[in-house]
Amino acid sequence: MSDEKKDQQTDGAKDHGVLYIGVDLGTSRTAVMASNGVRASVESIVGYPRDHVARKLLKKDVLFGSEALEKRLSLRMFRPLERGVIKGSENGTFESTEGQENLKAARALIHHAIRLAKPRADELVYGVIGAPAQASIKNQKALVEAARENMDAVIICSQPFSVAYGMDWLEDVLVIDIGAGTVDLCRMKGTMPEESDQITLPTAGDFIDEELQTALEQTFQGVAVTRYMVKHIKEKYAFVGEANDAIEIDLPVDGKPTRFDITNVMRASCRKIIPPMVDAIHSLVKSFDPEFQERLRNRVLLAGGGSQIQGLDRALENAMRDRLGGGRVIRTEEPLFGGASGALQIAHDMPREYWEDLSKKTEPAAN
Amino acid sequence: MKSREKSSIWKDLKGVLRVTSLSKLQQKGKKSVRVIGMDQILQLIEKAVDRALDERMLEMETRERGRIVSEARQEFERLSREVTQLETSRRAVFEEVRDAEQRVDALRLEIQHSEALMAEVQNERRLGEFLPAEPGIDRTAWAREIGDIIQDSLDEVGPLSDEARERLVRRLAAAMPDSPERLAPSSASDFEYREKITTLERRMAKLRRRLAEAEKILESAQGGEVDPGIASIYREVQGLGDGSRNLEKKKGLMSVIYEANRKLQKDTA
Repeated sequence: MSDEKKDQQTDGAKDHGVLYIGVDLGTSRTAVMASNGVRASVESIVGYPRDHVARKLLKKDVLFGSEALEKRLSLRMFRPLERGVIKGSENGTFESTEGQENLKAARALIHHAIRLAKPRADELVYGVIGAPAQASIKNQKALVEAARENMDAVIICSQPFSVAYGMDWLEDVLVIDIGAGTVDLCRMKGTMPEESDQITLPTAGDFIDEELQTALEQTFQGVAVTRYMVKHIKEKYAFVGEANDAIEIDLPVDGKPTRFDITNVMRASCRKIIPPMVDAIHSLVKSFDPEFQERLRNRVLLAGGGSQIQGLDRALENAMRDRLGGGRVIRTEEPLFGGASGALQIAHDMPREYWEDLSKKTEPAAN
Repeated sequence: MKSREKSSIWKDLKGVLRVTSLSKLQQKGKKSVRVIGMDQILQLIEKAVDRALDERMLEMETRERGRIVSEARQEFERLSREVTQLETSRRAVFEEVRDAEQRVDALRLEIQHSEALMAEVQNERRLGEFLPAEPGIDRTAWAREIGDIIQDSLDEVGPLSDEARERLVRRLAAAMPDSPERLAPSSASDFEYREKITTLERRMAKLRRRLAEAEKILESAQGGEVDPGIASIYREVQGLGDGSRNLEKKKGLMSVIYEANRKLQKDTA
């Protein structure tokens, strides 16, 4: 872009209005909602052309989501988030090559998510990003830095909190946000949740994929499936409890599509996430104020992509009846956009002076 | 007044109108075209506003209607101007992207070429270390001869013939150095190779720097704000309204979130 044009854009006062953006940055899917009515989501996948030929062919330096998946043979693929943090930064730094590459991909994904919201050049852009509850400070800083390149001010908050805030359930609620990388349980008590109010489990969507892939390969002789295939099968048929119909699908055996009944395999794989979840619910309920334990037990909110597993609410209620003497589980109406919607609500409710302060360029702290 | 409006609207429309030739229309099988005059466009704007007002059952005075019609017209003109400006910026950015892409492609190819050249020089240098150091020997012809011998024996599909083996052994024996020093390339040629490699390395570093700059320009041009975006429904910052549910609790939560992020931002700087 020419300097002149850049100047026109940057010098032009941002006086047209204020655009709020809520982003739910998930391991599997990133959802965006904005105060201009935009609602969009993209699979959290980033692809870079493998070589010069691929770049010429694709005419792009970076591809995202389903477009990247479609062209994956010509791309170096990254799924930059894993178990709620940027892949390769598990030790708290981005020093490894893997950490560096995934950090670059995560930044590109955030830029893409913001562009999806279609901000105008003459508007102030204030955004709230829902990050995994246990994202490290280093990870949060990386997210803030990436977002600040496209936003005037940015706020990071925990994903389960934003889900509850969006539904205006601020006290005596237990939010279970089932993502691909983690299941985040968060107890809301009218104030900001503390560490003791949150539990993160690794037994989430990716865990089911692993279990399902192993079970399919072990149960059906000669079946060859990839993780992407398993993920799509799960998204379409996942269930726990009683099956309405048998799940019969074609899977390749020696290159030939062969029909299999995977009903029992699917149910068994999906059910494996229930026991750890009930253990965590039990732990959060029993350590809550005894006067409000019953209320908390009856206000369990299921959110995130994993909440779409058919029959999961009933199965959890049954397990809670045995373990906790009862309980009520409610699903959010918008499993995919619940986090983004809550983040957007937080952006809206944040007072002007806070936004103005956060939009200032901060000087480095003196040592 | 009418003529001023007409000319203003015509000016705006010109920016968005697409021009096509009669021959092109004929090629598409069009024998006649419908035309619309400026008067009709003005009437359409007025009618659209009237209809919208009628539909909303607004009972307004003629003067009030006139004001709204005039405002609508101004808004139309403003939007048309915006579209024209956007079209101009879009064209400029398109050109910029094309130029940047060409520059990036050329640099990438140049780097690829330099890398190939570097590999060639390094191979040549490595080969030089194993070639016989007999003075005056034509190394290329020597290598070709070895290749021919192997080729001959492969053609026969089977073990090396006695004759081929004899030739190969004789040739290698003749090439074998009689002292270890002869294995190393002469200091003069080594110096030449090192010179070549250093020059190529410098050149590649320079090209890579230029490529990084060009890629940055390309990225910025591709991300150019050609898309006008969609306007937010808010003209100013909102915040919690006095009638919000759980007002005090939410105020407290906003304050905690703000403090945590302020600290995070300070640490990030």
